[in-house]
Amino acid sequence: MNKQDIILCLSVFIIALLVLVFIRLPKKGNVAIVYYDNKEILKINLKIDNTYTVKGYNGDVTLEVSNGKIKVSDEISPKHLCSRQGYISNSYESIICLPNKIVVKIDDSEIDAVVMLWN
Amino acid sequence: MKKYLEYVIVIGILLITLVGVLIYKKSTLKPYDRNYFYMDTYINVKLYSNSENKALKALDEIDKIFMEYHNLTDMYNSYEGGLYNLNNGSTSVNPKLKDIISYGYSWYSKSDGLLNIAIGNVSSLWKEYIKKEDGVPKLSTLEKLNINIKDVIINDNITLNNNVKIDLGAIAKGYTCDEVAKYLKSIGITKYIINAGGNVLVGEKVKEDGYKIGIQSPYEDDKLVKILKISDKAIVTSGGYNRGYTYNGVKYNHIINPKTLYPANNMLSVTVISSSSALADALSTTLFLMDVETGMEFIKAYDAEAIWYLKDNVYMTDGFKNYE
Repeated sequence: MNKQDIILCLSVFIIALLVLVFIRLPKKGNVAIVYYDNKEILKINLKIDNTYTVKGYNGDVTLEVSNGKIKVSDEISPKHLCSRQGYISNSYESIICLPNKIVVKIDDSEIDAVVMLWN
Repeated sequence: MKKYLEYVIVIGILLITLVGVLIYKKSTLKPYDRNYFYMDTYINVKLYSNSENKALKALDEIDKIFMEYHNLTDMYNSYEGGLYNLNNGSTSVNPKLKDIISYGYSWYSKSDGLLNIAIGNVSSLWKEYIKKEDGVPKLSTLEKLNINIKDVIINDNITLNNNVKIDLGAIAKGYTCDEVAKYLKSIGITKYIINAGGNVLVGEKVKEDGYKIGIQSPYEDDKLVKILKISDKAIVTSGGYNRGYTYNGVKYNHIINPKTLYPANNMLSVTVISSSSALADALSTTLFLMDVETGMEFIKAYDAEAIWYLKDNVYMTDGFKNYE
């Protein structure tokens, strides 16, 4: 084997190792994930201030990103609980619009679940 | 010849690596999760499995379980064999609903009348006020409503006398989470997080420390008051004003004390840990309706721990700190 072959072998090996590592590492980042019912419908980069509109059960739901935080600014529901909630920025927080079946979560939580004050 | 050998070596390394990756992937538990919207709650179930096929089938099946129990325990919509029909004169009751009602019924004597599933008439009226966020029902009106548990007759069927109505809100979610866990164990999935808002139930640990479960603060909605490390346990919070309302500057929550017919105000919230989610659910409601001292004594009879949050004070059982 000459030197180039060894380099080739090594690079194949390293690439394979990298693939392994990437399979293992969960993706983390300043990202909010928006779900409609049981489907993920949008990933939002919280580093960019912007406004997004998604379809909820009752109609359009508007999301606003500002300074790394996200809120639901407009939706159609009887009590507007989720737009009243305001901005979230902590990874364990979520915005839940029950009537619209929209859930917004932040993607880098160390916490597996939060027992909420809902009972 | 030498060149040929080199190709064999390169291809060999590639193949071994590929097989290694495949074996690794196969033997690694991966999380699969899904959202559900039942029982007036956002529910998320995450399970760990090495088979995608099995995991997705399980998540489908869990949808059916939640839907079935949602329908059976729904007070406002009619389903065959369900609670709405029972509350409105039917006596044919689905056996699964009968089991929940029997479980709830047993809590009346255990809790000295504080957890009363026959409270339907009173809780329904309060729900109307919570919905419109205006006014408070008069005591004289509430007192005319029948909440006598003796009017619930459980034989082969269930008969409700004198217009008494059942509300399973205090236990339905906890009970259903246990059923979901039972199903998961029956198909060999032992690692899972069933998160139904105020009810969380977790299976065997995936990481050394167990699952990290936050408790939402009753003081500030966007904070956690505790982060616990638990496995194979249920953890349930009762309290908070997310399902209540404010009128004339007074906050009313949705947990009605059957003795006063008004919302309980002994504390802001109480969180219970035990191995059964139905038990934790029933206990947390019962403790919410008691003062802390009484609750502290009461919980000793159960294999459970609790933490109470009051306006200026926090109390916990001795064993609670083992989860911190």
